[in-house]
Amino acid sequence: MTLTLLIAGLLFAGGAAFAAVRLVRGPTQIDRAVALDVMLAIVVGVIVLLAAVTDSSVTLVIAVVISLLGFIGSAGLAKLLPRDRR
Amino acid sequence: MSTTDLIASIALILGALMSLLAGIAVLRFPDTMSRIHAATKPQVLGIMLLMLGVGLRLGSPAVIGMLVLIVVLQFVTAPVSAHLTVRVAYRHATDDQNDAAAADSAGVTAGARSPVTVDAGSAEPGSPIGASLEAGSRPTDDKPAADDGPAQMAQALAEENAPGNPDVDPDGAR
Repeated sequence: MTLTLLIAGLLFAGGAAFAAVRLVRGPTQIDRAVALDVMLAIVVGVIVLLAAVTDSSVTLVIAVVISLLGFIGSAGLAKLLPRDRR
Repeated sequence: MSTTDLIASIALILGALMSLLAGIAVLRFPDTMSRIHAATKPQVLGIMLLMLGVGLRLGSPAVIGMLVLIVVLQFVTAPVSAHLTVRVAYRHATDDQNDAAAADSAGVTAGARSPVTVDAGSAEPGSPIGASLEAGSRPTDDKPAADDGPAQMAQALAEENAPGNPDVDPDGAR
């Protein structure tokens, strides 16, 4: 399980780093919103991975809440972005 | 390491690999819509693989219920949020094309109008004969002529917008 934690943690870190580069560089605000969605999915994945490695189901509630908040944030950004642009 | 732990490890690593692929795609893809297309992959398939790994690792029914709740929430909300984002991106793309077309047409009309005013201005000093009597009247004639360019442009834009709004309203009302 330690090897699983190492490999999956490195994969998650790489994905989060690439998404952070897109978050900084994104030409439009929509690209930044998409990069934030990817980073939020990565956060959920890391929380779930830690729950699997440490054999504790306490942090899974955080994953539920973050997946719901991610949808609310993405829908709100999609609603508010046109007024920001034009 | 038992067999279920091995399968759980493989599922967890595959889910993490899915998020890495999404990060690379979000960084490397050239278009906003293709980035959104790639960004939806870890939100559904990656989460599903990770939940499979956790469910194999911790097998209690309460945990499995919570994992099924997360997977169902992601299945419901990820396409909806992706659809909302793509709709905004599509509207911005079409608005950019309309703005570019409007800027092109405005540039063409301005380019067509500006030589007329330049010719009128160049004809003024080009005809000095009889300018002594009409020297007071020529600039007064020239200033409204010079003002007619933007004024006519504004009137033309207002006339375009004024019939445009009643045309737009029935289209928007349907």
